[in-house]
Amino acid sequence: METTNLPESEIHLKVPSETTYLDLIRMSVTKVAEDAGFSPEEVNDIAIAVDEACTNVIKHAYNQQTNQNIDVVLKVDYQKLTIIIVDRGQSFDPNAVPLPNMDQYIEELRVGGLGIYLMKTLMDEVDYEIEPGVQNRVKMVKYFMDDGKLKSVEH
Amino acid sequence: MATDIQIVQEDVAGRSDSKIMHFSGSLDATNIQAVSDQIISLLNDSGVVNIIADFEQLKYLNSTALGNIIDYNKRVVQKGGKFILAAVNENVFEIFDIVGATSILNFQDTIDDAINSL
Repeated sequence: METTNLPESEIHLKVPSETTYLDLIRMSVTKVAEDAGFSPEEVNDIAIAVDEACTNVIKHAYNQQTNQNIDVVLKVDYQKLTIIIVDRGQSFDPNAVPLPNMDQYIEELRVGGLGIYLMKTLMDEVDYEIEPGVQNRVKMVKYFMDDGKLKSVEH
Repeated sequence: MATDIQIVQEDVAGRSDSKIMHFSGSLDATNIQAVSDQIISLLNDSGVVNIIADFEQLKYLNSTALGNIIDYNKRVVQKGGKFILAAVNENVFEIFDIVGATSILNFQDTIDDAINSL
């Protein structure tokens, strides 16, 4: 039976807003997701989604300022892993970020949007809460699910 | 400290216009600029127009790195050459696939296939 090996838990990380810490964030998320019982493919998907969210914070919200912090909260319960990433940088409208058109992308390199598109594709839920001048918060959820059924009730 | 990436360059027998670059590690926002500098220098200064990127030992890349790879492909094509991604593992290929980049990049299963496609 595939189910989470962890009791319900909540882990808080406060990480400086530097890309050099992306590896540490990925390693932390990978360990939690592995221990929670996700498959290697799912663990990789989760790590990429978190990397993309944090890279966006560093590049766009904090505009590469390295003296800020990113809060990363990892919550595991019996049915899902929830990841909350909070910054206090420049706010943006996630709905205004266009999904990538690859033909256009080739002409206008690195126009953004790929990261959010990957997050939405790789995770089950991605929700932004933007409070301009206060904080940006993205919540991402990955369920222990397969074909619509909770893995914990499958054999 | 940047995320670990190692690149070993190898000549292609009988093809002075081509290089194989063996990647080992991960590509993300911390190290992609150094990789870009190396590839652009290779294209501008050495007469190389074809690059085979051996990704067999590349375990991870994010969208920042993917955007740069699309840029390398564009630069190589502008020189009349080929940028070939060889032996890409499943996790990494998934990222190219999700964003629809598989249709604009040249993938080969093995280094030999890549060399034969030059």
